[in-house]
Amino acid sequence: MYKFEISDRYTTADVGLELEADSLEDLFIGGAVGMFAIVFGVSQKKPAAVWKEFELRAFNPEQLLVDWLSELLYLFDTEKLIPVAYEVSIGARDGDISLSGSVGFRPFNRNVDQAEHEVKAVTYYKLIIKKDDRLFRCHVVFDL
Amino acid sequence: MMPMNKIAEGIWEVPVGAKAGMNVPARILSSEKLIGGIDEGVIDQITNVACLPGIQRYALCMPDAHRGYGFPIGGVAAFDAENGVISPGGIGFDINCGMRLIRTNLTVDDIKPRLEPLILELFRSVPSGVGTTGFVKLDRKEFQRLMTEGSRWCRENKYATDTDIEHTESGGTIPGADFKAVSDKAVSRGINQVGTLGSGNHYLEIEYLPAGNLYDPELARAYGIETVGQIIVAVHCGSRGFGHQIATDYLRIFTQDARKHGLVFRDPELAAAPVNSEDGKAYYAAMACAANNAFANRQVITHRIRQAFEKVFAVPADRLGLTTIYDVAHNIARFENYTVGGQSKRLLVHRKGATRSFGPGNGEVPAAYRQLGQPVIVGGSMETGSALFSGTALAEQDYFGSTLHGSGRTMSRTKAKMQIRGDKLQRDMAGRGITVKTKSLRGLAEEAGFAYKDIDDVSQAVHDLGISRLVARFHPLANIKG
Repeated sequence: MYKFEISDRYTTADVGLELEADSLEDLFIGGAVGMFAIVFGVSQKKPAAVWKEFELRAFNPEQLLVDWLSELLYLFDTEKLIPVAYEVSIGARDGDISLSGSVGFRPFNRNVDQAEHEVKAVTYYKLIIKKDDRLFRCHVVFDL
Repeated sequence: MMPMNKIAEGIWEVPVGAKAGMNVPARILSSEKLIGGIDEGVIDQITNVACLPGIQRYALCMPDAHRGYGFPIGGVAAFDAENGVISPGGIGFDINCGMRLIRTNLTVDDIKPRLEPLILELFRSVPSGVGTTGFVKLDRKEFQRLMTEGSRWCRENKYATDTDIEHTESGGTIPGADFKAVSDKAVSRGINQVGTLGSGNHYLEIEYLPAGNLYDPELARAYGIETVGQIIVAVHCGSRGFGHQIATDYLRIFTQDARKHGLVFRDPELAAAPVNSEDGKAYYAAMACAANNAFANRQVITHRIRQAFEKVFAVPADRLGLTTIYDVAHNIARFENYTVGGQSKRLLVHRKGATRSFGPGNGEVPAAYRQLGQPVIVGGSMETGSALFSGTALAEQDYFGSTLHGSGRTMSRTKAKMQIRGDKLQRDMAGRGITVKTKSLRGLAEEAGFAYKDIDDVSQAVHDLGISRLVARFHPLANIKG
């Protein structure tokens, strides 16, 4: 389970996401869903038309989150794919942290998908992933 | 709030020691009217910048400064080219986001009867919004040439005139670009986007000179502004996904290699590398590619603007007098020489939401303007239009040849959207004679004029400070937004 809220807590010209989730995986999925909610508002529920394998590795969870969201932005920009389904797991690997699994996408249709914002990039600003007794939390700022 | 001392009219300073690790003071250029509204986040960010190694004299905030990520928007910092650092966060993801101003021979009376078809033609021929691609079709080899040569590539391919090139910062080609420093991902993001506006606060605007808005007739005439009612075209955009990916790639490298370089940052978005390290040199080479790509992008858009005017007016563009006044970056790092502590030094000047302001006699100013100073183009909100300034020797002497870039936001996007709906704003503006075409009405609401500082206040502040001279203020007639 995850929750996200679009936030201006740390930004004037850009937009952030307040995220919380039961697991690191859900935090990452919530980040992806939230990022595309910034792009499209409420996204249309449609089934995945294509699945892609993901294998990402980073030196800390914050970097992995930036890599994950940046990869999804890249696929949107270049292949016009919008993520709609997630089967990913996160674990430790040789002192690093990795994300593996697959993501289902549907194609972007310019005539149907009304974009509100272009997310240029994922920033590191104020990005710290914290875990309390129950929940993982973080704030991500996107450059618009 | 950190201690901030007024040290002269329009100048405030946060002293070294106000925050642990500051190497230089943070200097805020503003006015009595604007300084009270400065966001505490700006002070926190600019004092973080003051902690970076090799920074010279002071970390600077322009009067339009507002909170960004890492550096504030409206931030300027100069680093020693030998011992300093280069920071993608000091340039921004949209490398060489910048402004171009194009003059015409037309007046409001000439254009009003054809405004609607002209807007439609511009909206059709200059793609804007999310997920759009440009009309220029390139293979990878040709794209490598474009990113190396910038506007010169455009001239070879008949998208630019000689005057366009002369009237662009550094002729639209930043030296040191090396496509080998650019990732395949950046190429994939950028290769189809040449000639596109993008989204957010990027725009193409038709503006005119109202009566009473000509402040320096001699300079205005030299820049091609002669008549009340004269039409100009303003373009605001950058390097699109190409630049965004380059910044993303190198921020990751710089974050990972920080320990190798012995660097610790107060904010991870300020990740940097020594200018002279392999990482630093590679980023500079890639950044120069993105900067050249952005110059080419605005140039190709200029070509499309000319075609649109030709089609609607059925007259060749040169007879309509469509000439580039100037094209200038406001998200960039440039090697420039300045006197620091009595010594001439080569510095890497980072301008993030700040514009070059070179005064009379500077060899980088186009020959046609050299005795007068470089045109400085300042984008206002879509309700207020652009402003044209001239660069000054004082800016070069005291502030690394830098000045403001826009009005500066005062209100977040979320708050702006809560105050007005996009469709109402569009109707209100139409009632005031400003036509807006947009792909996103919600995005439009976020760009409402009230979300920005008053451009008159900001313009007056830089004029009074002497870091640029106000030449003319234009008013919008029609705006195309992404």
